[in-house]
Amino acid sequence: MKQNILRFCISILLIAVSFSANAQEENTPKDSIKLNDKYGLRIGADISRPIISLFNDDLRGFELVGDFRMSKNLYIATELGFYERTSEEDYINFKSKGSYIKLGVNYNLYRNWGKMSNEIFAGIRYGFSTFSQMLNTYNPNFDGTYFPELTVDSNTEFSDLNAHWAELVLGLKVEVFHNLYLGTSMSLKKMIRQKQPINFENLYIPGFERVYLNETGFSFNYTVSYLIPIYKKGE
Amino acid sequence: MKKILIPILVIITLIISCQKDDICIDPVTPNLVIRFYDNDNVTEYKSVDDLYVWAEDLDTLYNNVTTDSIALPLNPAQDFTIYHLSSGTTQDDITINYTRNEVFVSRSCGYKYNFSDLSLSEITNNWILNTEITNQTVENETEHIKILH
Repeated sequence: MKQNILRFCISILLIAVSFSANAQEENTPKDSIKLNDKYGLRIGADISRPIISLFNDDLRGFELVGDFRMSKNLYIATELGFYERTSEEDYINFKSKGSYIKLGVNYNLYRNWGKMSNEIFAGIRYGFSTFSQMLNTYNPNFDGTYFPELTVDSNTEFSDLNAHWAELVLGLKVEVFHNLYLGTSMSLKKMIRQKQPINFENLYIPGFERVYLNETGFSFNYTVSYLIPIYKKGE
Repeated sequence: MKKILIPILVIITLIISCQKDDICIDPVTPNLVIRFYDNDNVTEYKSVDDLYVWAEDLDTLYNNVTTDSIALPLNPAQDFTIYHLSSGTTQDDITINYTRNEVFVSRSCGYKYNFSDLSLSEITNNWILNTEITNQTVENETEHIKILH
């Protein structure tokens, strides 16, 4: 919950900052140079997960992101990463660990002025993860307090699990220095198919993150990425 | 487009940030249900007067009640539970033996126990005349044991 609030605040800040910057630039006259559109491969990494890992021992992960511009507004995009997280629920404590890949496209909805190359984009992804879950402890759940509560060290590993899902992505990317971008995005997910463990459940999936009731999920990322320009094109 | 997108982004973020906490509402570990029958007419329920029930070393669970049915929690920490049943001042002891099976319920409820291979041992017969196990597995709270008196 705390983490979500933090993420929420950071996303609002990023949105606000990016648009105050845009508002200023909109007043300058339109550039006369025609070859404005940079095409190339943009690669980067998520910065939120390594930072959270520093303060939270229960969490370890990284995510690499990349996209390639196909046409004026269309980008092929991918994310891949590794995630390990220990979750504490009321009656169980478990660890999820694994890697994931997401593939899809982004469509830029933002019309840039002049030489700007910022993006507000919507996108879709197909996501796939292979992972394992480790049930560390559980407290058998019974009504009443007649017998004292009990913690059982289970240490049961549920390995060889996988999940396929679809994502809807909304995000923005702002060019803060020449070819260097800051970005943020949020994605809503819906499970397509998953391999469930026996006598347990996929509660947290790397890439999908927390599995909510009716098999939905969401996640955020904050990225720094660098564009390797390959060629330029006019409007 | 920008004008629509920002409110959408903000609203989605708000909805997502304020996710309600899960509350466990599913049934968890069931209690053992004992029903009291008439020893002279084994199909008839017969209430026990002035019934006191307590597990070994613990407080009373039923304190001076008149009933033909009791629900007893089984000790989740071991494979047997000793109960003392007293009708008035006449006391009887029973040891309930079982196997604990962990069953996953949900994220918020975690695991519950179901019990199988139910058996009774070390039964004293002061007011209890006979016992019978009617259901060897405790998965829900219907009759598991008959006590005739």
